Amino acid sequence: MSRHIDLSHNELKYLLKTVFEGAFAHSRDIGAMAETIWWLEACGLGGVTSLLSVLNDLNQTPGGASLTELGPHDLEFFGGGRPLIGRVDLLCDVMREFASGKGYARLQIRNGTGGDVIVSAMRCAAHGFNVYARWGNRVARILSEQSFPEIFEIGVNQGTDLVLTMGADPLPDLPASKRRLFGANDLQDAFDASLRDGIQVSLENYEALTQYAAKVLVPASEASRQGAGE
Amino acid sequence: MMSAGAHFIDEVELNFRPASQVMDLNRLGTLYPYPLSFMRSLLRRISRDQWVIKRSDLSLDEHGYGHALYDIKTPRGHFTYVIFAKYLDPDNRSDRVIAEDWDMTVTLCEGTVDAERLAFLKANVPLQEKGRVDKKCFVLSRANKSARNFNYVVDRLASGEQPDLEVMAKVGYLYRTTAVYGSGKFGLCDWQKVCRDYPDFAYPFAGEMFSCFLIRDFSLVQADHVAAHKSPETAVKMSEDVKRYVGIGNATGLGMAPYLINHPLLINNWIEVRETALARIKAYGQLSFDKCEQFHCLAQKAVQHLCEIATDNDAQNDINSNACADMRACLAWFEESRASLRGWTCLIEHTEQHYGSETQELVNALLLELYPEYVNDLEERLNIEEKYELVPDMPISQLASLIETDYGWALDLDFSKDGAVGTFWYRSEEKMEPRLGSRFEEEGAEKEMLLGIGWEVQSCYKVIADYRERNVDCSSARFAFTHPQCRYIMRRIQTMSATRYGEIRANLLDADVLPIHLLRCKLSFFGVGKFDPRSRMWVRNTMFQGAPLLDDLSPSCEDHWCFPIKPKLEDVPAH
Repeated sequence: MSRHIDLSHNELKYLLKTVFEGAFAHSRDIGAMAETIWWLEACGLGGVTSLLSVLNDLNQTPGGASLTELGPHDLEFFGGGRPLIGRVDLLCDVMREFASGKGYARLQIRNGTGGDVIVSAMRCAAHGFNVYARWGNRVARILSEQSFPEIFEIGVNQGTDLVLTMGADPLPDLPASKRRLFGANDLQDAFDASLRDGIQVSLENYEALTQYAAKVLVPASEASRQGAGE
Repeated sequence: MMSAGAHFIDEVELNFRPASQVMDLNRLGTLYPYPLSFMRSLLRRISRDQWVIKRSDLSLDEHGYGHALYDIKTPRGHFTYVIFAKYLDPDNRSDRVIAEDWDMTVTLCEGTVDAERLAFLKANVPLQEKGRVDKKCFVLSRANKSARNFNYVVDRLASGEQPDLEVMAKVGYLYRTTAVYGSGKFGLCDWQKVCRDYPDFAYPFAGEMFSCFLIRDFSLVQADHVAAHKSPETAVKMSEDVKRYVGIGNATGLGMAPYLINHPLLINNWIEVRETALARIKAYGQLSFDKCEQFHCLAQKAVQHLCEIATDNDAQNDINSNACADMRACLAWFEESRASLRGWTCLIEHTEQHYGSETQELVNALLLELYPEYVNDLEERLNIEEKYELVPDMPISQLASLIETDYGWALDLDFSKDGAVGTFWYRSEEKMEPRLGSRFEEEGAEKEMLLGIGWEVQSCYKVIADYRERNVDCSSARFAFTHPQCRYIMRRIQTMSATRYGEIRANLLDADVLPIHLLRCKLSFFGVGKFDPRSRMWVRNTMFQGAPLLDDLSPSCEDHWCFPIKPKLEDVPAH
């Protein structure tokens, strides 16, 4: 018997959106958060696993999160020990705005959990930016207007940061010790396969997400059944 | 992709109706089907592109139970439509989306279906939401018999008689669909895959409409089949004229309503395409003798169609009869005045001055039938990729101005009035079915869905105003960072402000909100007619009534099957 379920992209997005709604109601842009995790999962980058690792911390009150401008090209985000998933889209917005007038911007992220979601910032490439993200011992980089990044392992944990550049400004050099984990074609192939065959999610993970998402459902009652079709 | 003719390059010069008129929910609830409605568009394409559709396997017992396969060859693909028909205990027959058993369940899938695949589909399709099909399937649906009508038709055919058209007119179908799923639900493949891999179905709801069309065909085949088995010596087949008059019923409830609110770019696009067609006709349509005659005949047909509709809903019956009376009066004026009219705009202005939106939209629908050369090419514009993206460097002062300009209707809503927030929308535990609740009387408001766009816009505007009182202007990105609850509505506002028609203008949280207007709006785009409201929240209706039969579809097939009317008795052979 299969231990996984093949979800369509639409199914996964909807499920993720209801998970985030279960955590945040409408106090966040839950659609954007769902798209972040969906994109990671559809590319084979473990979005669901990443989400489940922080699921129980999702709706904790942010503990002293702050965004500070350190200089004309540098921002620092202090995550207060909370999951980055709740903030990555907002940070990308700020970075796009910050970089667009200057041609280059760097964001250092401190004390945020689930840092691997920062790779979803690669989607800023659709807005004319070259993007470089670093988290744990990994680096992702993409040139503007491309759809998928390359991802490397660099051997040491160098923190979490995000760089956006425009035009001719180069991305930071990669360390010589890098090992390529995924090429752009690998991620494109994974995405295409997920559209063709579905996104494979383990039944255990699916069940965990479904249970969390059930928070948004209202128990049926006689009043609720009236007029809905009979 | 667009394929506008040389006449239409300067569409900026066309005179479009304003959003304030077009996007009013009450008006949207009076829209009629028109040539670009999805089922009309589908049958035109099938005919033009000469799809080859064969009933390749009819494995039915004497009661019509079993399975049926349709083999479909399109210009760029090969598909199979699979039907499972079974006995259903009448006590279990329900239109509710929470039903668990049906007379017929179906799927549309890629490629051929061999015995192994048929077994897989048989194990899953009849379960519907509880089953799990695979990514080669892209439509999943079910239908229930209109048992009294089906049995009546079978009895008549078995005895050698055609069904009485007066009886058929009351319920113009043998089966009724209660849900038609696509877009990746329950294991189906995504719309993006349909667009990429099944381009012949890459039009809005094409797969779903095609499924309904084949359910209609099967219902007719099954009725003939059962009659022939019931009384082999005397049975006759249903005449083709009667068959064309049989449609497929549909029950549509609240499940469809959130779609219109959650896809505003798409809905704006459909409406803009429709309004573009109308604007072209106003600009270029000549009042030739032939066109005037055609309008007159079509209007009379529409009046007869409306007069033939019988519902149990007094309000809808009044709407229909008033539309008939208005249309007759309008026609009389048209006949008197047409020699002096400078263009169709004069007719439209006359209806706007003298009649309500129901008649106005009826006249518009009729005009849209007259000029396929100005309308049909717009079919290629109906698809749109939806992206609602934040413009991060837009100052919030500019965002506030956008709200004032394009969402003034939302700012004008008075949420302090009694009943203004009396409704909340939510998902039930029962199959996650969308429902309406009474906010101050029922449980669950804390889990409400975000469908009150007017409320959200007004709330965001107030937050921006409060912020600006205490701070200098800042970018949308910085504002969203400190007010994450606003980000969704901000990007929606910024995206929709760039469109011609924007949002549906209504307070969907009002205690007296009429979701049925949302349903009728969407159903008009599907091509559905004969609305039979069962409450303010769901409606029965009829699809494909008057449409060509499967065997009619060819490049010379007639496209004008709108406003279907009873065939004349003398045209229908008794045997």
